[in-house]
Amino acid sequence: MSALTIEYIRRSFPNYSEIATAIVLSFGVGVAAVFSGFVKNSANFNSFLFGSIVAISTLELISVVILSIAVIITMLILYRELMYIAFDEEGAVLSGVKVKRINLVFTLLTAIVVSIAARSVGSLVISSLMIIPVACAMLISKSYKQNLILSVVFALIFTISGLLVTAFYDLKPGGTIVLIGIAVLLVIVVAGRKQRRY
Amino acid sequence: MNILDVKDLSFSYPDKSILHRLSFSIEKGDFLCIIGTNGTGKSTLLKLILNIIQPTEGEIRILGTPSYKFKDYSKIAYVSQKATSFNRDFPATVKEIVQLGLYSQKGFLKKYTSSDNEKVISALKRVGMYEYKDKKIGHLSGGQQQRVFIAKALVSSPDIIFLDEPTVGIDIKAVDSICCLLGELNKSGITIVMVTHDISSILYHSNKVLLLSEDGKGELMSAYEFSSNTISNHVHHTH
Repeated sequence: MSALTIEYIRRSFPNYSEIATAIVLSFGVGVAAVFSGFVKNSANFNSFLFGSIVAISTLELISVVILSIAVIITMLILYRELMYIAFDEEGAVLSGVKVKRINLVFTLLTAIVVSIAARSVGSLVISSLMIIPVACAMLISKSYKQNLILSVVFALIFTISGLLVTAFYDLKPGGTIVLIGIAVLLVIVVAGRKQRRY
Repeated sequence: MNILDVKDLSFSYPDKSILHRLSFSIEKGDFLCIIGTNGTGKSTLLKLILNIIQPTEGEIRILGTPSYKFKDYSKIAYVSQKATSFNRDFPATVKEIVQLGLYSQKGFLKKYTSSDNEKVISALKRVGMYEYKDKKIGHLSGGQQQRVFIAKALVSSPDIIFLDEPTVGIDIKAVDSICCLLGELNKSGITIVMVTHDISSILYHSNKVLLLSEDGKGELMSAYEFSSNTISNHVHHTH
């Protein structure tokens, strides 16, 4: 519902599309803050906000694997269309890309991915987990295709290493994953600057 | 059959009329420049022709088909004004951008073949950008980027290319080379419809000029007539 609302607001403010995320995020945080007052056991709320590796049941894990495979297959099928829309939405329409339909599918995919990931990494850091691997990839990739592959690789590295550190040191998984991601991003930025200097 | 027919075209926003009963036609092989002062509806006219927005009244036909029914996307190509104001960090190479131009021919789920690769290479060579094929689009100059977008338009072998101010924001030398490139493409048989402020391309490369005025009307004339009117107006104002 939130994903579809963001997409609807984005179309209403084409020159200020970032407003959409801010509006829905504010609404969600407001609702969560109000409802948290009625929750007796706040530990469960913490796991939604910051994630928990013990919050996932076996059945949920199987669902995550199946949904992840479905998302990857859909992304591979729509690779060209998504690239065109991201680069030039107007040009995509004029080339026959079914932009509205594909935007809807992409919105639903995003909603599925956020729902899957929010249980383990937490809803507060999920946006960082979507952005930081891509930011790392953009600094070193040589093409769009390479950027896509590297984004997935970085996301996997951050998540797996973050969960391992969490398991050994009893830290919150969401925060740990994001901090590892930011550390890697800083290393890439500094290494890139040194390389340009020499 | 004319390649483009516009008949009694009108368009207005809630508070302002932009175009009023505009009519004109162009034939295959024409090079039409659409000119006018700011706010006369030049870019709006292109968007109406391409069915990006719908007219208040009137009819537009592309290759004999009403524009709202036109689905043969490979026959037309569009280089928008936004082409040079995209996100420069977009992580795509020149070759990947030009490949996007094939979508209108290939469609959904069609595999790209070696022959498609040849078309991309041929389009890049035609605009003089083949050696930059593996460079990221954001790393090129404005003039080079515009050549890449023209290659993207060319790759599907369209009958007609629409361009919205393709020389905005690029240096004079690059403007000249873009105009010469468009002139060569036109000589090879491609119809060009271009919104522009660049008088040199109007006078040297185009054969027709559509002059839009602030009252929403337009006058189609030959480039020679426009040139004669421009010179006589200049002489009139300086004396």
